[in-house]
Amino acid sequence: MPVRGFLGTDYLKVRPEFRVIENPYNPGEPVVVVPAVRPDFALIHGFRADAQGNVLTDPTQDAGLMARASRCTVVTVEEVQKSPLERGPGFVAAFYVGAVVVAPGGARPGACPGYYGRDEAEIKAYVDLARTETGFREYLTRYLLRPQAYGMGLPG
Amino acid sequence: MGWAYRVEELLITVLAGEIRDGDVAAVGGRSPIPAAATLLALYTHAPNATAIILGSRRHFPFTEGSKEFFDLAQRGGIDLFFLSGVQIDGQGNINLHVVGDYEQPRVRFQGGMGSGMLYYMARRVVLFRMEHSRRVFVPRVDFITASGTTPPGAHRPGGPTALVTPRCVFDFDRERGRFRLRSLHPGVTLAEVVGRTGFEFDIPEAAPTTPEPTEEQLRVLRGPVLAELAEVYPEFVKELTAG
Repeated sequence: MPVRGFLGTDYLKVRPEFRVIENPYNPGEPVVVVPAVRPDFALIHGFRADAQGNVLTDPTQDAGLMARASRCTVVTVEEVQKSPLERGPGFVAAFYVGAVVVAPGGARPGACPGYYGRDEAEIKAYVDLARTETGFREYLTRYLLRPQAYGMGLPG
Repeated sequence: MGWAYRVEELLITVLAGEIRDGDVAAVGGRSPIPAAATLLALYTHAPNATAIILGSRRHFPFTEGSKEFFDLAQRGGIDLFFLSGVQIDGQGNINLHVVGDYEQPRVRFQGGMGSGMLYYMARRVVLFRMEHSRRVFVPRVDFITASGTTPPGAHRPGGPTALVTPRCVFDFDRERGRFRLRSLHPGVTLAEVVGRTGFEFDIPEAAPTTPEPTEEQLRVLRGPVLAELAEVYPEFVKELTAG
């Protein structure tokens, strides 16, 4: 796909798949083209899922774009509802979704608008701990391997 | 007697001065000072400007995420964009990738996102960096993430116009691909700026002093602007108001 700009940058030296072609509609104009990114998996977090597997995500983020680009998308959600979700901004149709996982708090320590904000204290703790391998493992143990210690409710 | 203000407040008013009434002005991530400047402009001299602030719900008018923002930029919809760099060189090249060799870097950064495109398509790109030193302002960047120069025939409606630091303001001459000192901040000498800048730049015969924030600007900044900025940058607002 074509993309504006990028001419004169070092992307063109280190990314052989970034090519410069002549604009077929404007002879003499160089244009950068890049191949589409096709991930095998996308892991995204949404607000809600319905029984059909449709998902509502934050329309200011790129979750829907990632779902449409990827071969398989796994969505964690704050909650599920029985009635079908309304179509609108942030709606990701079920045929892009491979699996839905109910994981309230799943975006922590990041924010999930309408549910919770960024946990600045934990992000700072992570940044400090992640400087060393031992610290990184400590973070995993303290926050992720014991999700109940973290206020993440388990369904059922 | 001048009004007591912090250097961040001076920079916010300097950056606000780059925004014209009616502009569509956009601010990317981790940019509290440009975001404050955009809001200050809206509240003062540019009430008809449109602010696009990444991370803000009020000032992010898109339903298709950052893709829609980048699409808007590619169709020429952004008048002003703020950009920074790990390194910036005298030809206006920006490095957001690595320090050292690309394959074996001393430090690896997060990369450029869309800056290689925005640097072409945003009509005026204002460069901003909080560290004015020779390790930042280098003769030649280690990696060109966004290019100051343009190959012949390329479509480039935009590009860099100015560089703002805690010591001074430079203008960028796109024709010559070179910076020219516009003004020195209060109390800063020319020798200091020359000593701390690793690239060559043009020097006017008498460099004026950067205008200080007015009482009205400081009142609006410390009131409604910071209150609104706290939505996106609560930590920055906390630090700035901590005295």
